[in-house]
Amino acid sequence: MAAVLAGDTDAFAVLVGRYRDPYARYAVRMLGSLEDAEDALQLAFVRAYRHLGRCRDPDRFGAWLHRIVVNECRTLAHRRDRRDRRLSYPDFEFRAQMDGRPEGDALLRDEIQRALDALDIGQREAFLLKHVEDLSYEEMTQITGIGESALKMRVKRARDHLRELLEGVHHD
Amino acid sequence: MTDPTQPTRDPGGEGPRDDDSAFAERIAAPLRSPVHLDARFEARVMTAVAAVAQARQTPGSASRAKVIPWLLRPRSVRMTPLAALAAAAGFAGLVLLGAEMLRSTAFRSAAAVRASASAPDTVHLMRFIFLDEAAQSVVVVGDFNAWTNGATPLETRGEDGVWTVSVSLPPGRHEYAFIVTDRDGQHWVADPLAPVVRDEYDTESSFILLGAGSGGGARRSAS
Repeated sequence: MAAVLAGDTDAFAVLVGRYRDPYARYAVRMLGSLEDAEDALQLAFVRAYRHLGRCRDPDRFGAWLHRIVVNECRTLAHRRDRRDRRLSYPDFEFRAQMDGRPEGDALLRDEIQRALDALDIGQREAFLLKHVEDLSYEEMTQITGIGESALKMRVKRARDHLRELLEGVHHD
Repeated sequence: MTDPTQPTRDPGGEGPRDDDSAFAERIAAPLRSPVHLDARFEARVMTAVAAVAQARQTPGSASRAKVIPWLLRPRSVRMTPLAALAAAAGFAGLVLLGAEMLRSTAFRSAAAVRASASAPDTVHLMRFIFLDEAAQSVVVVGDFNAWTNGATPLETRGEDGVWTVSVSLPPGRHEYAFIVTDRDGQHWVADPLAPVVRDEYDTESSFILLGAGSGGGARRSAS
């Protein structure tokens, strides 16, 4: 990071290489599309480069970048949401037969992704940060700027909604 | 905050009830599988970063030469016959919504995808990005919209000069340029990082080649 700030643009490639895949997972799950995820990440990296001087603690570059990625994904998700509201979609019928299926089952993952896509953007974001990215509520607050109680509510509603969407196929 | 290159697990005590936790874990576990981006992703980002760095270092051109080509990569989208017909008919007045409609086609149900597979056409969804903090508006003009100023405006959040638009294009050669409006008026801006073409009045535009072949697009009119 110091090298980049000193004018070595190529050094930024090291940061891109280090963080691209970890954040790609979040972006893909949030946006439900590899192409959209790439767009969000590209914008996030360029934004990070442009504002690198604002990252006061080099040791926390990853967390600082994470906040930018989350913001970009949220923005793109809202744009896509606006677009989708203009279109009519057939109701998606969830048939996620989860029981007995391996975690690596790509079809199961796709079906869960569709259920995620049906969530409110804020709920999806909170669910992913909490349960997929394994962040604490304190960390989530730092990233999103949203209070802990609101985040807990969003996570709970996300879980409830997912359970509702997958109802009939998931049995505890 | 957590650095993803040094993952940590959420400490206990603040999580949901056990049954909720079990349910959430069953949903989340498949979603934790790694995602790998296109091998060229890094190169695209660094091209954009280099363009930003270059713009910073060039006095007097700070608001120009910021067209970012890395999102010009094509995306192939299977279209429904109706959408393909619309694409073949041209994009004037349809560009923003049209691009999104085509894109949405890919997200429709499996039945819709199967229906389109019987008469597939391929279009390329192109996203144009322009960086200009001083711009008040940016539009892209090209053979795909009959070089119509205003037909394809780029959108911005108005924060740091990132302007974007997605356009659906058929395979072939397409010429384009940007018209940027700022406090000094309107400016015709070719993409400095794409091949240049000049018309009979020596005006520079850019061109891209999509898919197989290069069946050239229409030439720009004099205006």
